[in-house]
Amino acid sequence: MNLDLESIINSVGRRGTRTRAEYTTAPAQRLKQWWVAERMAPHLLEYQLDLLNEVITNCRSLRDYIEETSLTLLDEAAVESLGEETLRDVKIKLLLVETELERAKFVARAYKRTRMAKIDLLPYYYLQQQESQSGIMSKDEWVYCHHRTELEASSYYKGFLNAFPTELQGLTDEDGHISMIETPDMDKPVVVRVNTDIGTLKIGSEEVELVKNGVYLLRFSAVSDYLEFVDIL
Amino acid sequence: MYGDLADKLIAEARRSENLEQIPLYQTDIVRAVCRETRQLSALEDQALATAGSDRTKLATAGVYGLCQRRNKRCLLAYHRQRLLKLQKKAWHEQDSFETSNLSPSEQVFVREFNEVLVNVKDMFEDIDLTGSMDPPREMYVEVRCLQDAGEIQTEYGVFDLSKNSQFYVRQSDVHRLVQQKLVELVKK
Repeated sequence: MNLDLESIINSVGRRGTRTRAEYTTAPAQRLKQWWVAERMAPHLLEYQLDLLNEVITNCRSLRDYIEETSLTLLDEAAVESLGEETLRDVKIKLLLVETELERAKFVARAYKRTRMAKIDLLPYYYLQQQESQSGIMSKDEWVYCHHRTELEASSYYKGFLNAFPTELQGLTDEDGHISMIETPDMDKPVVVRVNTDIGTLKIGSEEVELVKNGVYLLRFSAVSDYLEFVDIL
Repeated sequence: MYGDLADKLIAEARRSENLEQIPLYQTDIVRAVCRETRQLSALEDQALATAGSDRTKLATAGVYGLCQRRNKRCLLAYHRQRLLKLQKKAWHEQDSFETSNLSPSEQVFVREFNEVLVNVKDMFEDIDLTGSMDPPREMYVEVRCLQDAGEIQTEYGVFDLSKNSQFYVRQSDVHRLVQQKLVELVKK
């Protein structure tokens, strides 16, 4: 089992004293940053499949540890042989691991749910994007989006569109060059922290100097080309 | 006046935006708007057929066309707001919420959407996708039972739910019971 108990225990009570590098190496922590970014960005960001899988694999090994230890604690003979002090340590470790598992599960769940909520709001847009360029939605998200949109369309049809003139029944029409497909608001403001010196950014008629570790409030469209160099906060 | 009915739906949608419950489906208004749209469509066809190169009549037909599109847009807005709410509820409470205020097509939607949810959930068993969206603060919580519900099997053991009894249990174990309103969290 490749569960790093020491690091979990060492990290207790040291909140805020970890360096940024230490803090960002734990998969759940890195996923948390993506979750925050996903919440703030107006459209879906790159899917973090590997990172998510890493967190899920971690969850599994945490759960294995919990099951194993809980079984030991049920075994009276084994408990007696441990001695009072060791038993207390084992119980504290167990509690810590349980807490860590809930935390990791929450981050992974929140990340997935945030993306799905975004898909729910603009399903036709993402389906259209998926056709023209691959990779915005993951496979499971595509399946979800596809199914929910079918159900939604059929509900509209049964609810009222079937009583409409045929030429008005579409849900993706472009009458008079106005598309029915809603698109994300790329001009939404976001707060970003810059990771490397990017230099001067021209936004409309204004120029902004982006320096490392600076925090800026900018329109998403202005930084959308520099997403690798900034953290969305 | 044409378009007034659809306005009522928009007002209704706006009013219920922040409501916890989903209000009664406005079957009559929806039907009336559909009827009005068909009338407008007939008027448009009529105007177009007799227009020839008469610009006034062509403009009239154009306005009829716009009115129909407006009606469609209002109906879509009304229905979409309800469906998004239903989806939210389905994610949060799964199948345990009141559906008597819904139209037949919305009830079908809820049923089928729940099946979609079951499928997605199965793909991510390890992280319990429909679990609580509040960050976990404590492993164990105090809950009070609200109804007699017999014995409940959880991942880590069995407990007997009888009304007003209190338990000190793992939060993740009872999340589902809280959603179903069988137990409530006891605030410290």
